[in-house]
Amino acid sequence: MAYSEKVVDHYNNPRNVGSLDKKAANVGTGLVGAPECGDVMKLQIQVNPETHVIEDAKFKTFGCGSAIASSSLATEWLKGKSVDEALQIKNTEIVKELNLPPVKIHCSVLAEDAIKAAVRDFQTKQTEGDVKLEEAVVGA
Amino acid sequence: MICSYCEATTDGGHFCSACKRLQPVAQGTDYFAFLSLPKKLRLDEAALEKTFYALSRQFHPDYFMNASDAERLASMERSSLLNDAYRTLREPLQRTKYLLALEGYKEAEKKSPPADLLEEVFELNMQVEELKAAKKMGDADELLEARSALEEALAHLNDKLKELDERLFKFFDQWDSAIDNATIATQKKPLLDQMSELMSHRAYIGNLVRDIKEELY
Repeated sequence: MAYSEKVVDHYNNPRNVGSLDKKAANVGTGLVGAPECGDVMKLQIQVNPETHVIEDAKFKTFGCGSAIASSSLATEWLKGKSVDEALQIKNTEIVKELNLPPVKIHCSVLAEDAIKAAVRDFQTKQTEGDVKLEEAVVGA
Repeated sequence: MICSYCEATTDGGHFCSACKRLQPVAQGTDYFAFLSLPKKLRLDEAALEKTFYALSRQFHPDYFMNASDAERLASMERSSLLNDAYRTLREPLQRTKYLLALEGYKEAEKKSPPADLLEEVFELNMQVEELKAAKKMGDADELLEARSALEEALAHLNDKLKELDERLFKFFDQWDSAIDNATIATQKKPLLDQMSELMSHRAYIGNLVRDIKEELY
């Protein structure tokens, strides 16, 4: 099966590979995997706490070309979006952009799951932060 | 069942009990039914092998060279089904996978593995990548370090696989006794759910072990 040009491009020149500080309060990390093909995908977002706009996104994926391309594309799309907009990204848009064949649709699903997991992680950290802040205020 | 040649009522066996001709395979025949086995997970593998050889002889297309088209086709169909059934059922993990598929469990529908397993898979993939990099750079010290880290990880993963297999075999016993005690109707779903999850984790670790071995040896 031949990969589409766009997949090959993302595979050869993946955008935004790397990692962000997992412990930082404004970083959300999503780690997801597909046991049947052995893929594992880590996607991180750095969010401006005031505006909730995603300022940076990084990924590291171990898997097939389509999985790498899906997560690479996702990080490109995420930058500049608000977290609410990020949650609107659908795997079908990734499929369309990369011309993924039916057998590779699960790779795009994985990328969508990773985005959701990263946003959820960020949101959890935010509410926990608020609770801590409140505790600090009450304690004072 | 009605014989497709003489229209006698048969016992559903491979051959018609009246005219002795080889029957076509009924659509949707599963491997267990084909070999007249209960849908159990503990299986006498030696007995299965004997059945396989005995039926192979009975179905062999060489014996049907001068038979009707329908019987020749039946001989080929039964031979090929027999091969698939034997290869699948003789091995405990393949058997489990087959039972899950038969019960409608699809691999693609599995949910993401637990966080600790994902973390481990991710970390080990990083280590595999470090080993690849060390190989490329030709740095002997780095290479040695990366290798020993992965060898240690491999031993740990193999222990984990063993542990998962022991858990799986406990489910085998629970599944089989539920069939024996006719409590399968209520226990079916929870047992299959647990086995499906376990198999999925096992596959994940299995893939990782394969990748690590490929890099190490």
